[in-house]
Amino acid sequence: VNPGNPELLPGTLYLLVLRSLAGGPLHGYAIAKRIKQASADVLEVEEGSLYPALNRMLVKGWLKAEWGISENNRRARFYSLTAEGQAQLQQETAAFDRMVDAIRLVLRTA
Amino acid sequence: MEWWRKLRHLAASRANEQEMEEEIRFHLESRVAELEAEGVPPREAQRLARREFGGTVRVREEAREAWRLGWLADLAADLRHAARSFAKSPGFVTVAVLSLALGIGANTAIFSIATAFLFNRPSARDASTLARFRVGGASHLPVNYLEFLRAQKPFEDIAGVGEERWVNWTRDAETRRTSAFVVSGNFFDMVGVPLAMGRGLRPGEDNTVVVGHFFWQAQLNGNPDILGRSLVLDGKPYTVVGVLPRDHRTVSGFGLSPNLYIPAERDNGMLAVIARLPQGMTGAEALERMGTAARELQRVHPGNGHNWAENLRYFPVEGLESFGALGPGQPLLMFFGLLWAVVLLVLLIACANVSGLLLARMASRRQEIAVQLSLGAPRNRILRQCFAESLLLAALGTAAGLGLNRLLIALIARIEIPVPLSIRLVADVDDRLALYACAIALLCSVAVGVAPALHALRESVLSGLKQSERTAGSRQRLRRVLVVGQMAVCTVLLATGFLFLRNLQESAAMDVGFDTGNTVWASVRLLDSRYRDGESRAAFAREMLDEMQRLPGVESATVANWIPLTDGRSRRTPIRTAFSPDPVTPRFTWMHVGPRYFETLGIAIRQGREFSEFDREGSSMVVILNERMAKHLFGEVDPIGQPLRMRDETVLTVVGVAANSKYGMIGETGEMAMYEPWFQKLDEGRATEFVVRVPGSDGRGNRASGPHAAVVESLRALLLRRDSSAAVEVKPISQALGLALFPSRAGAALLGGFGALGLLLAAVGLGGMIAYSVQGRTKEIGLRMAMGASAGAIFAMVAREASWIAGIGLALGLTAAFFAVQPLTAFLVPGLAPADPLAFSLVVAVLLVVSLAATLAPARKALGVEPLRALREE
Repeated sequence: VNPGNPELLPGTLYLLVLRSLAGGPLHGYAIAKRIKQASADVLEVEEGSLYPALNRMLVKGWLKAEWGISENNRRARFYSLTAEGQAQLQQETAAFDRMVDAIRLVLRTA
Repeated sequence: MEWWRKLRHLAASRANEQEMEEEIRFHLESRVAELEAEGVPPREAQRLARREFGGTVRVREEAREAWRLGWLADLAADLRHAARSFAKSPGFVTVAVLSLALGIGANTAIFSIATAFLFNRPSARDASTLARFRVGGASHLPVNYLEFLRAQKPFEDIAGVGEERWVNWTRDAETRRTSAFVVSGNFFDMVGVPLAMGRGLRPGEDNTVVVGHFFWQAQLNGNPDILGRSLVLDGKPYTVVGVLPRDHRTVSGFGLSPNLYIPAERDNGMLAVIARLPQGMTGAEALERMGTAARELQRVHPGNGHNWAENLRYFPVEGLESFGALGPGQPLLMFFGLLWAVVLLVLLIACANVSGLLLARMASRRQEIAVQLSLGAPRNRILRQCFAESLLLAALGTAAGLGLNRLLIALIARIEIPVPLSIRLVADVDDRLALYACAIALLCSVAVGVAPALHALRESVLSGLKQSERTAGSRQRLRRVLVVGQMAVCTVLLATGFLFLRNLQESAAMDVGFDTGNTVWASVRLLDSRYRDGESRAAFAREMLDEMQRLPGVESATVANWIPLTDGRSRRTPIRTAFSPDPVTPRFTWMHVGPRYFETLGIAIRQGREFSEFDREGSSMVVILNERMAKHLFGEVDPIGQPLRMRDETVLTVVGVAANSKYGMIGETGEMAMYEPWFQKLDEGRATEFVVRVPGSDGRGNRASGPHAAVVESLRALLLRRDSSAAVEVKPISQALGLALFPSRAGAALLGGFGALGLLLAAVGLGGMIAYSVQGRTKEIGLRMAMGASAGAIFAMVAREASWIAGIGLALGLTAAFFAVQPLTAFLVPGLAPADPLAFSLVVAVLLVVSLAATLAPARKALGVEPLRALREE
């Protein structure tokens, strides 16, 4: 999935990643699980497509990555939010809420 | 910042690939472990995990895509392509890079010199919080006043530095004058001057010295054990405590480079006020605080006729605002501005050359471009390739140009500047030069690339594999325009160059108003410690004059406190005369001269008399004016016997009027002058500069042999015998006029040089264009020859094209030059018009001759065309 995929609202994957990292650093697999749970398995994404998105977010400077030790004692790459990422999360959450509100409004009045 | 992260990522691309792989493996294995824990059999778990994940190859590809550098990567590819195609034509690359290197070398050299002299970066700790002050309008204060200001504590600290100080350095039996900076005891500590060896001067010291790198190298043989040794300065031993690094730059800027730093004596010398301001203090705040301290100074030590608290000024010691701290920065600034404009023009000519070469190359690349276009390459892709080529050439040219810059700077640094101050060019490669070079490289790549890009665009519009005649014509037309432009710019450069050469010729031949051919100058710097008062100096001078006049070959001898055109002292003071109850305040040159001064220097006395032995301490006070000053004060009235009432109420009687002459500068006009007797109103430090008249030389005084050389030797021996602690320099006055002629010489050398460089580049451009044109017309030439055209007719045909181009360029250039040189009057000797007819005629002659010469080689090639072979081509 890329952000242009019709199955997913634009930017939603970014938002989901940012949200999952709000609580602290996670490795890629944990992020994938978090997203699945958070969306109650509604959003069916190929898990692999998470990684290009993570890389794009690294390029944008929203995330930083560090190697660490996972819960099962293996070397894993942990992602965490940068200050820019935090700001982005706030902004996208607000924008997303506004959009969802707007959609609800449209559905109700229709 | 994105591109920066990408670049860093790029630097570790192999590690990144491995990390990506490890990360994917970790993901899959974690999922498998989870599924197995849920009871899924291992093989099924593997399959499921893979399916959920999707294609790993695509994932990796997409992740890589995120880090791609976009246009930067394209540029790299274009540059590689350009480099490959250049490798096939080394001749083209050599000419192009050499052209650019000459232009950029000259350009950056001027930049280096200008930054070294004008945009000083003093060797100091945190120079941005150091500032220089002018107090009560004075740039320098007596030491005790400086101490007074310091005691007021307006800032963290205040230190003083005096730049114009000579000391007598005695080594073995020899004494010579050397330049020194005198500084307050806290100077080194407050400024934070870095040292190469040892330490700085400390408060309370009066017999320590810090030596400069060049002095240490040249005069002390770079002795590594110099610390602790002593130098005999002004008859007193000083212990060397430190050595400055090679790149030491003073807080005073302007390339000043003292040989020595010595402590200032309490009761002697004037110091500039340097303050260490608190971080972030503005100029206005600093002035206000200094104002408070200056008002206190005015209260306790009222200024003599001026108020210390007025005319306060503030100059940071580095950056743009530091101009004006030494005052006469403006003409210097203008001169550098002129040089910069000139080197930009030279660079422009060089760029036009390269542009022309690129255009010619396009002829051979026409097919290639057409193929690319027909295969659907977008137009901007073609443009990008054009600019990649010019960028690569500009980068190579800049690199070579920087090499040339180092060479030129090393050469220029050797030139000794004949000013009464020690100045040295230290222009290392620094961030400013690097930045400037980058800017120049970009500018060049655009300047070079525009014409070929325009042409490529047109090519793409006509876009055809077959046509050739029309674009070939457009190419040649563009090139002609370029060469005409080159010729025009070159004309302007030559006009400027010739103008300055004419200026040098005129100033060297100018009548300075005194005899420079039959006079020898003996400068003697006496020690204050041996000659404590004016009277002892007068006794010395009297005795020496007697002896000098007895030397064989000497007709007359005199003494003065300074010699015209080797220095300059002027004064502005109110004077009252019988005709002006209100004082007039003229600015005039002010000298103290001994008996027979006017006779010795061959300056006519128009009215009255000159000074005699009887004009001495105790006799009535007299003065001689030059004609201009006499006229200014008295108009048509006879000035002889008239009193001048000075500010201190002394009255001087005019006893003579001397002919006008030059005093400070060759180019000056209308300078007024007042002479007082050297032996009257003797002050403590009156300078002893002797002049003797040696008749019978060739009138130019440049001969090393003959009466001059003998007198120079006997004078030196006489003075050394009398006082070996005095620094003695003896030379014919004509040799001492270097200072006066320096601006003309420097101007002529630099602008003449750049004119020649521009001419060379333009000639290469014209020659190249004609050669290309001849090549394109081989068939036509062959046909004409086959039809019986004579060699003369063929030559005329080729020369006609060249003369048209040169003619149009010349006409445009002469018009532009006429206006461009108008503001240069300030640099020229009086009487020389900027649009000097002789200079302009020379420009026309030189340009025509060079254009013809540039055409010769292609013309000979045209004559060598074999008709049959030419016709068989294509």
